[in-house]
Amino acid sequence: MPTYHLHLKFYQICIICVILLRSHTINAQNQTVDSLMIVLEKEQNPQEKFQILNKLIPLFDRKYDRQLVISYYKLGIYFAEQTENFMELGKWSNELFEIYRLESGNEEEALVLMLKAKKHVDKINDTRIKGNVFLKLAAAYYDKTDFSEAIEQYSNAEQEFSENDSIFIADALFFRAQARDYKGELIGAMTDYQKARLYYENLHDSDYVEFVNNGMAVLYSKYNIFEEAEKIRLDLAKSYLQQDKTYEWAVTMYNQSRDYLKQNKLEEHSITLTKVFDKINNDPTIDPEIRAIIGLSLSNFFSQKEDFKMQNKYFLEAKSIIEEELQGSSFIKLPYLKSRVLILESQKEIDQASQLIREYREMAVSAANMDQIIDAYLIESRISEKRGDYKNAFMALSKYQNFKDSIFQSNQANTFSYYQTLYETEKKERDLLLKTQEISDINEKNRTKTRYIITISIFIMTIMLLWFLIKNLRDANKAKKLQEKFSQDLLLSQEIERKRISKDLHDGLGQSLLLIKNKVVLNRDTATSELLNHAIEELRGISRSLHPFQLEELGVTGAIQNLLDQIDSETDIFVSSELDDIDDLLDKDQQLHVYRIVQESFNNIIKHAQSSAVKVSMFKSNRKISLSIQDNGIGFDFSEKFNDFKSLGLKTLKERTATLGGTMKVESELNKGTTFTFLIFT
Amino acid sequence: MKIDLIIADDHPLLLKGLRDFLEENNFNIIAQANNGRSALELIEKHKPSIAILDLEMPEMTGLEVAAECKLRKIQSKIILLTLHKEIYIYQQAKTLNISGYLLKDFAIEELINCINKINKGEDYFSGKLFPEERNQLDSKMNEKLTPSEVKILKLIADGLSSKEIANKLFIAERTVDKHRSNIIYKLNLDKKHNSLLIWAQNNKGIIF
Repeated sequence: MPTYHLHLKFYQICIICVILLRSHTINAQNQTVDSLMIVLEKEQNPQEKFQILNKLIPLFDRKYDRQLVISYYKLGIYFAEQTENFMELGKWSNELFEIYRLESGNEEEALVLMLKAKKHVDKINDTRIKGNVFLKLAAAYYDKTDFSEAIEQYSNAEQEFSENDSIFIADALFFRAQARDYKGELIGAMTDYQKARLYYENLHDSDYVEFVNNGMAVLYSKYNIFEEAEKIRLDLAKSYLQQDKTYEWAVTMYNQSRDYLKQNKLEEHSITLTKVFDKINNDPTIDPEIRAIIGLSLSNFFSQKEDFKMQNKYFLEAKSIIEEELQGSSFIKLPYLKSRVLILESQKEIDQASQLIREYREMAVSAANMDQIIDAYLIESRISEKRGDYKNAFMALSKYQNFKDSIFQSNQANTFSYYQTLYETEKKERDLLLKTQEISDINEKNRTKTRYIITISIFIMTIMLLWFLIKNLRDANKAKKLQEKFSQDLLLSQEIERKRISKDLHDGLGQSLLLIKNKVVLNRDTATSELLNHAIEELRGISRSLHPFQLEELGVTGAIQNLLDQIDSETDIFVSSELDDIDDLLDKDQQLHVYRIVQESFNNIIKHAQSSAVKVSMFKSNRKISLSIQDNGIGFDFSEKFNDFKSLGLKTLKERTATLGGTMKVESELNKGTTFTFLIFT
Repeated sequence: MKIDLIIADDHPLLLKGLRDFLEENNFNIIAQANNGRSALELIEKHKPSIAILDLEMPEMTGLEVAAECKLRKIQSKIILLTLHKEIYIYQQAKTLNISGYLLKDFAIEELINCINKINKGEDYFSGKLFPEERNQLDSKMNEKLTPSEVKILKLIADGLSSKEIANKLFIAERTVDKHRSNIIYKLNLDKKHNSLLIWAQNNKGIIF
């Protein structure tokens, strides 16, 4: 049938392409070839012989006698095997195989050649040569129609090629698909086609993509999966038309028209055929076979429609092409015969038709073409019926039915399994999609949840941290306040206690001493009186230093002035002062603190500073008192003294200032003196 | 004529002792009080010529009573008789409305003298209030030197200029010069240039 013919034709194109890809441009000079042949004759050493052949063989091209070339290749392969140069053995075997295939009738020799190459294939390192050995071996089996072996070898070839040989892998897959197609393995063939197509697409080999598509379309229609076939073919046809590949377009359209016929879509069938006919019938550059077959198909169509005029018209068109251009074409022989039968049938030449249809049937049987056989039996039954030969008609019809059933069954099984596979695949994919969707949904949910949790956690943590910090700050403040209050209370209770002791001393002990003294004076005991005077004087000193009673009478300014006068007169320190009256700015407790600050500063100066002069300045400005006490003593390191726990003086100063809500500043330099500055805010 | 007195002390024994002592010496005690407030009331009521008050008493101190008397324009003179030795009372006696100030421990020796002086219209402040003199400068001087003046004198003896002294003592040069002229006056020295320096160097032994 035409379909298969075209199929094979594509295969041949493939092989030629491969040859063109592989073969080198050979520009050998006859002289070199001749001299090498002579040297080869004389040489005895197999190693040397191999070397010479290695130079000689690449020099052959088409102008050399085929048999001569073959003999040298054989020689080369022989010595390559002898000298264990397996790479050359593989390479030359592959090349020789292609030379064999240029002519038919060498199938047996080609197979033997490749089987021998295969024996050594393990010792070849080059993946391309190695894979090609399997590829050629598979082709040899294919040519011998041993498809099972071919499929196995194609699989080997696919395994052997490396990633860089993807064009060969694609070829192996493509050829294996065809082999499987022949074997009736629909699914396997389809899978291979798809894989091959993917490779070709990646290699941007659009021609081969189209070949593969064609193969797939053929496969689909073979198993009556017409929708898929139509889809592919319409795409292909469109693409061919755009590329001006009219011949390929016509073939594709013709094959599609056959599918329409099989589906009994007569209208589409005729429209497709007419379209092709109109485009190519008057174009002699187009292959006559396709022109003829289109004419014959249209003729057959009108026979079915019983439009005998049109049937005859198209038949005559085809007939002229066949008689002028296709003498001896085996391809057109059977279709032509069929159309003739139909013409005879239309012309009521039943006997003649009956004779021809028998001939047609026999030829179909010998060609083992199932479609044509079925066709033949159907027509034969019809014609026999018309002849009144009912017995024969019945026989033909039952044969027709038998074949049709068997084909239908096998096709049905295949188609069923195809659709099942397709269904399973789709179901799996849908399930997978569903699951993926579910997973991504769950992931999304999880992510949202996680984000939610993280946000809340961060929020809570932030709040807790803030709370913690605030609490800490509050606690610290509280602790600080407590401590301040404590030191203030301490100072206060200290003052109260001092005042009490001072008063007790003064009023108790003092008065007692006084009474004693009065007695003593009355007794005129001058010496004891003098002793008592000292005791009372001492008591006064203690009492005064414990609590300055003058503060209550004079106010802080007066008391400080008094204190300074006292220091000035009692020590060697020269005291100068400038004092603003600050009495009305401070309450009694605050006044006492200020007084104590001055007193304690002077205690420090007298004890440590070795100072000869002190200047005290006290100024008031708006709600602020600034008190500074400057000496010219030896100075000290403030931080060192302040951290020294024993030096309570500085600490007390600081605490008193803090109690007053003021600040204390100390500037001191060794041997340059010290200045205490107190700023008190009222 | 007997002098009318009011006495006040919160210490009963001392009060009694004082009363006995005064009566022994023929003074007329109109009234006595054991706290400041009643003392004030008695003074206002009797208007004695002299009131002898303890400095420290409950309700009102002696000083407060004196201040109140001044405020109420009571003519009675106030003598503070107390154990407290507060030089500022002497210094601010006028403001405080105090005419006499005695230390209790020397009351017996000085009280009679004090009352008599005050009765004559003078003030009396016990000599015991003032620190004992430490040197023999007094005899040569018109007036006692203040502690500040002594310190400056020492620095002058060390050969420091007025400017150096001023820097050292954190005071103005003018203040130093003022001190100088005061010292010169108090020491009865010539107003000649360098006379103070020469005196200070010669009398180093006395000053230090």
